[in-house]
This record gives sequence, C-alpha cells and structure tokens, in this order.
Amino acid sequence: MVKDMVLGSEAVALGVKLARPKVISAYPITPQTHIIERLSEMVDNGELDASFIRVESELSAISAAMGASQAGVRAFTATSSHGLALMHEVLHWIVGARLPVVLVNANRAIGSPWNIWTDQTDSMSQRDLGWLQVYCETAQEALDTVLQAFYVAEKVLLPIMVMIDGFILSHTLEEVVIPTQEQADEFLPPYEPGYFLDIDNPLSFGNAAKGDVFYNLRKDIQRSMEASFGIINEAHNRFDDIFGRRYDLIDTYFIDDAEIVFVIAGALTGTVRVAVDKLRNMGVKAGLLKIRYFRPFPSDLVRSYLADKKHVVVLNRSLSFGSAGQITQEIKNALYFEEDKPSIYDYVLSLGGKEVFVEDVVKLALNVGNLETSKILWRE
Amino acid sequence: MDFRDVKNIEYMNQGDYACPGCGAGLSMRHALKVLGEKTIIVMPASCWSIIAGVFPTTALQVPLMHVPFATAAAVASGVKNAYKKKGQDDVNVVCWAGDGGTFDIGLQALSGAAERKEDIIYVCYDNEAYMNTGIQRSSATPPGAWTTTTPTGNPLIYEKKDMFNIVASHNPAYVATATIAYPDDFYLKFEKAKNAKGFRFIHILSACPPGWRIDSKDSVKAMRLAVESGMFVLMEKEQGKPIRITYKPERFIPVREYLLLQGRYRHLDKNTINEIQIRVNERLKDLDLS
Amino acid sequence: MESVEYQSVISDKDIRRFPISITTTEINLTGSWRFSKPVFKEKVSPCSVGCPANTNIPKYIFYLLKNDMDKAVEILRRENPFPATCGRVCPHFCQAKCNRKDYDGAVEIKQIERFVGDYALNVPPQKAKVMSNKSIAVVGGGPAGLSCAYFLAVNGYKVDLFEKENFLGGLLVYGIPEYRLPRSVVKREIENILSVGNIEVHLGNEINIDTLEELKSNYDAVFVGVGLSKDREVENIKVDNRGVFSGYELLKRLNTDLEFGKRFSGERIGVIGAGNVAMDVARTLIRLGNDVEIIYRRTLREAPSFEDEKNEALEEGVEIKEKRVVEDLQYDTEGRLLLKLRGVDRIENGKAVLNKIKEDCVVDKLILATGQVRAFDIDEDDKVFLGGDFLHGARTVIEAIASGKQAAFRIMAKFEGRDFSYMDKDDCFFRAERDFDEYKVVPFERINLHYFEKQEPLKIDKLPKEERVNNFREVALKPSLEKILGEAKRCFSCGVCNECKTCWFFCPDMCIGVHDGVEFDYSFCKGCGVCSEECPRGVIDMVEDK
Repeated sequence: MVKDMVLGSEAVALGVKLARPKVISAYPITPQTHIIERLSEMVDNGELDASFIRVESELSAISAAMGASQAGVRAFTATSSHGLALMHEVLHWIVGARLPVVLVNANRAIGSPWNIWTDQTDSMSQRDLGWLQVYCETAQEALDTVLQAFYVAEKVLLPIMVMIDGFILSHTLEEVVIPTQEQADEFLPPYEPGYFLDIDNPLSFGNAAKGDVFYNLRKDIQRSMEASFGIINEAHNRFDDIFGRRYDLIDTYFIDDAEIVFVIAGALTGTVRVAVDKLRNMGVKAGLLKIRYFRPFPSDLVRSYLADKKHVVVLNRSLSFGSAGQITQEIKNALYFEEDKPSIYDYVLSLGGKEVFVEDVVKLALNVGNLETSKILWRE
Repeated sequence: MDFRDVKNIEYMNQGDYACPGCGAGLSMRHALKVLGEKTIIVMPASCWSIIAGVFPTTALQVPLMHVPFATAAAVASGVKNAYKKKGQDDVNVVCWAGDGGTFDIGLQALSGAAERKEDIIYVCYDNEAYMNTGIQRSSATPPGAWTTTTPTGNPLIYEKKDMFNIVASHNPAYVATATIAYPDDFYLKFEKAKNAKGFRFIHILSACPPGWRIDSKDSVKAMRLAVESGMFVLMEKEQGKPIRITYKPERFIPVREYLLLQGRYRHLDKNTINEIQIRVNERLKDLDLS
Repeated sequence: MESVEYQSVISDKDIRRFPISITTTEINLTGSWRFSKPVFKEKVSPCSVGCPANTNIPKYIFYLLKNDMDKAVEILRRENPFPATCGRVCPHFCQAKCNRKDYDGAVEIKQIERFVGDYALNVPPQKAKVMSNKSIAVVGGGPAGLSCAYFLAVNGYKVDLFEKENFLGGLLVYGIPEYRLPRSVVKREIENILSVGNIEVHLGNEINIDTLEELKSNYDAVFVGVGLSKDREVENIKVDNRGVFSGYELLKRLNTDLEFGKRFSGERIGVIGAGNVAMDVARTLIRLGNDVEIIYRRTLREAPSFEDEKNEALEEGVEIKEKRVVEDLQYDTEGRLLLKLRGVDRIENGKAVLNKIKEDCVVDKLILATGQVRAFDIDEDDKVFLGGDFLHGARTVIEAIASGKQAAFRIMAKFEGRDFSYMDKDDCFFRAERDFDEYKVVPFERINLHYFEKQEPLKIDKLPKEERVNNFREVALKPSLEKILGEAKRCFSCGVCNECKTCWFFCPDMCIGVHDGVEFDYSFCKGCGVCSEECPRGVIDMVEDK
C-alpha cells in the first residue's frame, strides 16, 4: 500500500489494473483519454497482462468488451459523452446478455454545440438501460469503486458504469492510497462465469425470444437490480474489512439534524461540502446527501434520511428536457408515500462545465424560503 | 468434388427457421463442416438471427453469440482476444454476417478489425438485400434489381460495392469470394481461411428464394448461374500474392439467363439487360477473364 | 431514521435468467411448412431402352465403380446371360441412345460390358431349383434358344434343349470368327448358363416340321429358335461348292474346321454381299492369306454390317466394289471364275435397276453372302413360341438373346396366368424390379450437366492391322481397369441413383440419407426441391403434399 499523487483518470487506470481484466478495448475521447493512455502503457510494458484492442469507435470499444465478456473473461472499457451515446445500442445488449462489463465514463456534455466540459447528461441519458451506475467524488473513490464494480457486476451479472466528472475529477491531482495487488486479489477473486462461449459446452446466446419469455427475462433483470443492494453492501463490507475504507450506497454529511439537505452526485459534492461547512458556521442547519449508486436507486435508504427534513435541494447537473432533473425525479419518487414530505427543489446547478462556486450553494440555502417547488430552478 | 468424401457429421441441428431453399442455411451447414467444432460464431442482425432458432432452442452445435447489427467484427475481436488470453488460440472465431451487416452498417467495424489484423474469420453471406426485414435495398443490391425500397429497380447508376477489393486493400491474411454452388471451391476456401492466421474474409453469394423471386428449387442453380454469367466471380487473394481467379467457366453465359431466372429482374427491358451485360463484360475484362 | 436492510446475494441459479439456448431446434418440425415433397423415383435410362435386352446399364456401372463386381455381374445377367459375348459382338444400340452422345460422345458401354462380362466368365450364376412341374422344349442351341432356356431355368422351369449340331452356341460359334469372338469366351458363357441347372441338352438332334408336332404333345411349351439356315437364292448364281460357295456354310466350316481353311489360301476371292456374314467371311479369308473383294449392290455406307466390321475389313485390306451385281459367271479353263459385273443405278422394291456400266472380274472363288432364310415355316400358337432370327429375320446377337428372353417370359406368364403386357409396355422389357406402371425415360434435359466435365470417350485399343491379318487373335484388346473405370465414371447414370450424394450435399435441411437409394426425413423437409433440381440424373421427383 502506497500513497501517491495521481490524476483522477490515473486512479481509475490503477483500479482497473488491480482488477486484472483480460481484455480492454477503448477509443480516445476527451476527457477520458488519460485512462486508456495509462492502461495502454501498462499493457505495453507488461504491468498488466491483458489484450488492449485499439478499436475504431466507441461502438466497437463496447462491442469488443462485450465479446470478451461473453467469451468468459473480465473486460473493461472507458468513454465519455458522445462516445457513451454511440455505445447506446450495445449498452442495452450487454444488459440483456447479463454480462458483467465495467465501464468508466468521464462525465461530459453532449453537443451541439461542441463542449468538452463536465455535466451528467451523458450518463443520465443511459439511466434506463439496466446498468448499475455509480458516481464518484474523489480519485480515491474512483479507484476503489472500479475495484468494487467488478466484484458487484460479476455477482449480479449486470454491467456497471462508474462515473467520474470530466476534468474536475479526471484531470485533478489528488492524494490516493494505492492498494497492493495482494489486497486487490483478496478482495476480487478470479472471474469464473457460469456460462460463456465455451467450445466444450456449446450454447447459443441471444436467440430470438418470444414475448412471454422476454418479459420474464426483463423481470429477472429488475429482480437482480433489487437484489444487487445486498451484493453492493456485501462488497462495501468486504472492502472495508480488507482496505479499511468505508463506502455506502449513499454518503451523508451533517444530515442528522439538518433542515436543508442538498442532494448531489459526483465531484461537485466537494464544493457542496464546503458550502455546508460555511452554512453551519453561519448557524444554518444545512446537510448533504451524496448519491453514489444512482442505479439501482436506493429509495428506501434515501427516504430514511430525507423523510423528516424540511427542505431538500436537489442539485442536478443534467435534466430530462420537458420534465425535471433526473435526480430530483428519484428523490420525489422516493418520498411520494410520505404524508408530511419536505419541500423538494429541482435545481439545475450546472451544465457543460458552468462553474459552481461555494458561494452559489450558500446563497441558495439562504434563499430557500423563496424558492418554488413547482418548477425547475435555474441559476442567474 | 465427390460428395461421398464429405464428412457426415453435422454441426447444425434440423428444425432451423430458414426459408425453404435458403442459401444461407446451406452455406452455414458446409462452412461448419470445414471449420469444425472448435468454432465460435458471432452473428449480427441478419436472416440468421431468425434461422438460428427461438429461445431456448438453437440450430447450431457450436457456441453462438447474437450481437447488434453494426458490431460483429468488433465483438469477434473481443472474443478472439479473450480466447488468446485464455491460452486457447486455436479457436476459430467467425463472424457470420449478411450483406447489410457487412457492406453497410457493419463496414466500419469490419474495416477496423481487418486493419488491426484481428485473428478472425469474417464470412459475409450476401443475398443482395435486407431480406430479413422484407427485401430492402442494400449496397450489395445489384443495379436493376427490384426490392421493396427500389420498386422500379435499383438505379442503374449504382454499383454493387466491391467488398472483395475493399477488404483486400487492408492486406488481410486471406480474402475470397465463394458460393456453395461450387462445393470444391467453397470447401477449399474455407479450409484455406481456417488454416491462415490473421484477418480472413470470405464473401459468399447466397441465394434467397423469396427475395430473388425464384422458385426455391432453383436456389443452387441461381448461385451457379451468377458465376457462370460472370455476375459473381470466384476469386481469392492470399497475403503477399496476387488476386487469383479460382474458377473460370469454359465460356460465360449471357447475364440474361441469370437475370431472367429471377423475378427481381423480370421487369428489365432489353436495353437495361444489355447495359448490365456491358458492365459485366468490362469487369471480366478488368480481371483478364474475357 | 428507520433502518434499511437489504437482502443478500442472488441465489437463483436458474438458467432462465439468461438468454441462453441449450436445446436444439429439433422441436421445430419444419416438415409442416411443406407444400410439395421429394420422392425417390428411379427411372429408365435411354441406354436401357436402346438395349434390346433392356440391360440396366447404369446400375451395373454403379456397382462396377463401387468395386462390387459380383453385384455388377448379377445386374448384367438379370437381363442378359451373354455379357462377355455381347461386350464383343453387340453393336450396342444402347450407345446410340446414350444421353451423353450430344454432350461429349456416348459412353463406351461396349468396353465396359466386355470388362464386366470377362469377369463374369469366372463367376457362374447361382444354381436354380426346380419350382414348376411344367417342362419346356427349346429347339435351337444358339443365342436365342440358350437365352430362353436360361431364363426359364433360373425361374425354376425344366428345359430340354435340342440342337442339331453336336455343339451349342449356334452362330456364336460358327458364324462369328475367332478374332471377333474367341471360342473360349462363348464356351465359358454357355457353361455358365448350363450351370444354373434344370437344362438337359440334346445335341445332334435336328427338329423338323414333323418332329415338332411330337414335341408339342410331349411338352407344355415349345420354343423354336433355330435361326436362318438356308441361303437366300441369288439369280444366275448357284452354289456348286466347286468355285461358288455359301458364305454361311463356309463360315461355319472355316470357324469349326481349321484343316478346311487351308484349302483357301493365296487366292483371289469375291464375296457377294456386305452384311455381317459377308464381312466375317471376307476378313477370315484375308487372314488365311487371300485377296478378297466384296461385290455389293449398294454403297458400303448403306450396308447392314456393323461399322466396326466395315472399317476393320477395309483396314485389313478387303477391297470393295460398290453398286455392282454379278450378271453372269463362267468358269475358265483353269477353273477360275470370270464374273460379268453390271453397274447398279438404284434399288427399287428390293430389285437392282442396272445402268450401262459393264465390268469383268476374275476370281478364284466366289462366296455368296447375301443372307439366309428360314429352313421351314411355322407360326406361334398357344404352345409354340418363336424367337431369334427365326422369328424376326437376321438381326444381331443381342436381339436374339432378347427375343429368347422375351419368349421365356411369355411362356412363364402363360403358365402363371399373368398378363404379359405389363412387362413389355412401350417396347421396354424388364425383369429387373422396376416400376413398370410409371416408368419414364430420362431425357437429356433432365441431366444436370453442371456435374459433368466434358471428357472424350474411351478409345478402344485394337491390335495393329499388320499384326492381325495373318492370325485369328482377338482384334479388340482388353482395356485396363483404370481406363474402364475412367469411362464408367462418364456415365450420367440417367434415372438410376448411383449414390453420388449430391442431393444430400445440397439439402439445406439435412433431411436426406443415401443408402441403397435416397431416403427423406419428412419431419423436417421443407420441400424446397433443391434435391430434385440438383440431382444430376433425375431420380428425385417433387410431388404435391398437403
């Protein structure tokens, strides 16, 4: 175990390396590129025993990863924004095929116009696929989550998408504890698929299914999603035991007595943490709920924290045009059955890298009595 | 070829969902006889997505993976790399794609895999249109042919995409055209593809009775006449060697005989047929065949 | 804050969670899609129809190629007990009908038959048991009589065979010279016929019109196949056995008495006629060291002898005077014959119309070979059956064999109370197990030529002409096995399955099995018809199937 200063993207690469994937396929896109650059380096210099397929598009990147996974090995790919959008069809297919592919997405806006900066529109647009989605706040969390992701995916037999914010996290140097390979191996056993493209046990994968069969297969995906909470918890416990770092489905900060709770996912959580500190210093009972797992969405857990609050300010960095911010929708959904619900504010905090300062968040809390709950709130 | 020497073992199950007389079913049957049991099939959307059978049944006795339309060559790359890493490099990973999945939507992935010299065999069974969706034009549809999206005939200014040369320009280990109507040629080419290392591509012409508007009994005959008329030329190219014509009829029959066997060409007038004949002649001349 | 607990791991290992197919599509009985179905229907090859004995030529060629010679012999003998003989002297009408003729030349069936026939010499047919209390008299021990006796014997009838000479074989022995048909071959084939049993041979037993009545009362049926033993008379010329001889008698003597042949040497001999007897006499005399000149009233091209015979005769030095008749002849003082020849303008109603050309010609001897006629007349009745040349005039050996066979079957049909007509529909007469009701001859159009590469027919190796004029060695040389197999492979096998497996290969539904014919798995056959279309030889038909 060593400590080092690494970029967020590099932390991801280190996590991937510790998971010992056999096939990595990727296509360059800002701001994800550092991940695959680092991984190519590791493969080329022999640090990582894997095939690195330098495909000609993201569609092929995810396809090759899918093929490798179906062939029975651990597969990884990383992308961002347009790349993720281009993968869309295959992302669906991987879920249907029940393949534990791990993908890291560096969150970035999608054009037009061109914009390379961060927001969560790309991954939020993929929320209904059946991929598990985790949003990371720090480089350490990114590294650790990648490792956990393989564990969870291979047990749930569903793919996982791990999000890091473009630039904010991907291109920022942070101090990271790098686990040893022995620890990683202890945490993550070798991948032993039950069924794969096996010449000794020839099976066909994905043959046309009629409606009733298809319906049940889809029901099973939902059942697996529901059951995955248990697996995620188990993974977090194991991780804590081995590495001494504790993770949960969600993370909270000063929430117990909070009257105003900010809900956020991703690296801007750090900014909000500072804002909460500031507000507490000012005597405002502010708190924070960080969404780590957006899929499956831990509604019960969220409700248990938010049901008795006064104000819940959801800080979205994406929205479903014509409806609401995706996180807001989930929060409202989770609290629907509460008789005395908090006021829930649907705030579009930032898109396409629009800068967010601590003061913006502080101002928001101070002004909370004047905010409307019936419509989307935009910044000035 | 003496069919009595062809091995009796089948790697396909009966009860597949191919239409009567389907060239694609027949081609798969024989391709697998050559490739053998150490073969994994990767299959993008195509007629074969249906032919392979309905869950939980399968028409193949080798592992099969269905994949989205545009992805076959990339998925196969992933499968092959996985097998390499598992230390089982002797497995044939085969893309089995239609002309739509090859000439059109799958071309990019195909080109990528070919350029990376992926160690896979890509087989395009070309029935010259999107047959599974109900006979729509693809870039493999020959000029003049009727399809549901070219109801008055595929415009004559179009030309069937020259897939052989497109792939050949990637300098793969092996590239060939074939059709099961020429069994010895077909077997030899699959054998060569199987034994070569690197990217291998076989473009097989595969008759589609409903799409070509032919009687199912004429399926093999139609494939044969395509070759005998020079509409489809049997050739191959091994890496580092020049293109080789593997079959040359004693004398090419007029394309008329091939075209008029098929309902999809029956609307063509004399001039159009002549125009097609002229183009075929030019192509044959380019190949030093006329 | 309430506590939230999550259930742990997915315990459901049920494979249904995954879109994985583990069972076969064999539950999908695609046979139900079918509107028409293939049926295995062997047909008749044109060569079989061409053959007067309707030999199943493709079938024995099939067994030959399969290296099952015994079975090939069995198939051949089913229709013809003289394969080695016919392989030499039969003009092979089959070849004229061969579908391959218009493609790259007819299959040299003759050579193949000879090859199988020679093998058959050492494979006697199975002994037959007597199965009937009927007994039949067969008069004449030539090819027709022997054939009739053979088919009756094989089918369990008792036969008494009467022959006027003291040897069997008739024309095969005394009518066809050694160099075309070695005696040993004929002898062996006759031995094989007799080895079937049930045949009692009475040699030196000439039957005339009177003794025939006796036979009729002693036997249940009488077959008469005594051939044509009387020379056809020629105007102005009489056989005197001094300078003018009967070709038929002479050939008989020459072929059975070597000493007699020595009386003919170093002479100039004229032969009138250009039939097979004339050719045989001429070629025999050449071999005895004579000069021979054929005098014929038509052109050689029109002559009824076999083409081979004509060509070989010319090669061997036989001269020919075409369109000439002998108007008169005189002996000169040295005993030579002075022939007065006249040119022939044309033949009208069988008579020569002469022109003004006159020509003299001197020969030492003159042979009349203008054909033979019946020695006595008799008609068929409910007990008497006729066959061979005696029935239909001078024809070929195979026609004699066929007519003897046919008579045997007519006799048996009568005894067994069956209708004979079903057997000889459209002049086609088969003993072999075939579907007579629906038989069809496979036309050239039904052959899928794609499966046959063009290949020249086998050239027959012959003794060089300089090596054959002074001896009686067989002219046609025995072909090698390799060459025979090469030629056999050219056979289209029209209408007869030769297990080429083309149907099996091209069946997209894996519904075809080929073992002793073609079997279909109708559970899965989608009825596409590719098997029928691709079959190189038309043995699969598509029929409606609802």
